[in-house]
Amino acid sequence: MSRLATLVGLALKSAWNRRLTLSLIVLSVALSTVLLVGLERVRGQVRTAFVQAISGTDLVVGARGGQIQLILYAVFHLGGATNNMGWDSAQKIAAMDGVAWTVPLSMGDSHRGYPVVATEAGFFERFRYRRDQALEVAEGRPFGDVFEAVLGSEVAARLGYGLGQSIVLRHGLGQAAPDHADKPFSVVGILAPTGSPVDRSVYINLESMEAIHIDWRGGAPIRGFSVSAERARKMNLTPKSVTALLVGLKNRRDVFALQREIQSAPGEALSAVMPGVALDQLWRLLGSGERVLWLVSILVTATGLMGLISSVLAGLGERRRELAILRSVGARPLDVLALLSLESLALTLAGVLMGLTFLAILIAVLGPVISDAYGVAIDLSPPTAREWLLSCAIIVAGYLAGLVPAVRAYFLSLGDGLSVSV
Amino acid sequence: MLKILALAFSSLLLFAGAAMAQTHAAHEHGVATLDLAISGNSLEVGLDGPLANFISFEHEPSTDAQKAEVADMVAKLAKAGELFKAPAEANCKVKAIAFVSEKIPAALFGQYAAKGGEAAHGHDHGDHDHGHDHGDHDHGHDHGDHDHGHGHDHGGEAGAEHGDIEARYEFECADIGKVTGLDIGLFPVFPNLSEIEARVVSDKGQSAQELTAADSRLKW
Repeated sequence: MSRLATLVGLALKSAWNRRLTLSLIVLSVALSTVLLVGLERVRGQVRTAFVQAISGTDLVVGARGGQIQLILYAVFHLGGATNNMGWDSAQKIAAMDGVAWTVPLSMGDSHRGYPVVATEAGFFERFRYRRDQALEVAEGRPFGDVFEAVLGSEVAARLGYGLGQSIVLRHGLGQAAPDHADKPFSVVGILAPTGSPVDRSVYINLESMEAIHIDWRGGAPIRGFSVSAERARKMNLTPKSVTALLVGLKNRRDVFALQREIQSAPGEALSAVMPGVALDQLWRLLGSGERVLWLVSILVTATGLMGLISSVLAGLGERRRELAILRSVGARPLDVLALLSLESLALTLAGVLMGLTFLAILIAVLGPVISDAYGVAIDLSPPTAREWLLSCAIIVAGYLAGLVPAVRAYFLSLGDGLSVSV
Repeated sequence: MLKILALAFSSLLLFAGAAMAQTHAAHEHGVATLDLAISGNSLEVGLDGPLANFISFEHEPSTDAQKAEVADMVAKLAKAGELFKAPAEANCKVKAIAFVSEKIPAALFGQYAAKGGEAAHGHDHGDHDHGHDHGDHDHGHDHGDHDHGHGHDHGGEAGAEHGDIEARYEFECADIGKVTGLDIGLFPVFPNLSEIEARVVSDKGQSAQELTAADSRLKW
């Protein structure tokens, strides 16, 4: 056996003797890896889910107001619109040169905390999320008639609804608001999961929205006046206003000109927002929180590596005799240096591999739960370039950290004879 | 997660949203907007911002010195290939350049004057006047604290002394697939320009980016 093989064999045996300490080191590196790489994974996916919550829509138009509010309620269905835009304005925009399609959205009602969005059947064809991904109806069909509802996947799963379920919508978003018990809806379709706000919404058509409010005035039922569902069906259900309008253009590059045209058009004061631009800007505002998380996880990783240095250093005292014996059987001081630094490299490598495995298991187990709870799809996919880079950075940092005790051992073994006075 | 994030930050956002809402037309010194549209093999750039980013005044030039300053600005803005650097292998050529400002007579822009007060547009939506909504815009002039120094030394009529300039560029690239970003060379040339709010539209979708002298690469 060559000298090196003997050394490595001895080093392995030595490591086996110290297996408890070493496995704790590996574990701490593994946990750092889970945190650092996991955070990167979640950050990437949250950003994707956020920025690509809507795609294929060139402009979102609503009553004049804040750009962010418009996006929050038109895309994320959060909060309520302060003002609606007139139906005539919506039709004017639909007729504009360069506009390929429009999909109106009308909001304000809810069902057990989930927002109700009234729209046209075109929504199911036109709406896109991620990279041009279309909606899919998992069960049943899109709504056709009045008083038919299509549920987002999360709504159906959480509330345990299937096709044919009868549901009652609540006026407004609060729990105490009056409901539309006289005009129940029947579930005709359930959408496939998208990881977008669509999962948490209930879709009905615009006529239904009009019908359930036909005997309402100012947010409450009109006293002593009620219209039955059957009669409402036969009345004129053309909406007078909508909350927002999704606009698709024939030619995407016309969006700047069209945005100006809509915002400066005479008549009703409107805001036109480019959703991709607004979401990027929003994410930039959220970015400072992201940086804090990032800093914390780097600190945790540094702490893990410090632990590696300190435990190897502490162990060095006990190992002085062992190293001296190694020297006596022919190991040179440089061999000792190499052995110890290789040991830390192997430890970090094992730690990182273990961390990535942990992470994969964690994602496989918790991914569906997170997706259900927060609508963010964390996929089990091979690490991205940035994640590989991070993993390599941890390994390099671990190797460098391991050099500290290795160099110390080198100098110790230069000085120590066989008779170590520990 | 999205819901929590969005709710937690919504107050901040609504506050910040007011500042962002009209980014395109707000008159904030030091800030310009850049709109970039890519389709087919053409690349259109629209640069829009206060005149003060490019010259030292925002009124109609009257003295020879002021006219010389305008001429200098025109010469600098006309170097399209240096202001918007695309990768050489994409082989992009400048096809059209046009400037328009309600404060500067078209004659001073010479060959780059937009025809009929209209910046060069390669599409069908050019029939409304891009210049007109600068004069009568109804949003307040958005001066940050930092720029109270300038623009206010014109005596009582300071409020009227705001002017914008709009520059339109059209490039045609032999291999547009190679263009996945542009190096924006405006900052060294115009030291008063400190920030560009860029918006990009391509077949891939829309995106937004904030550019500064330190980070002047526009990617998409």
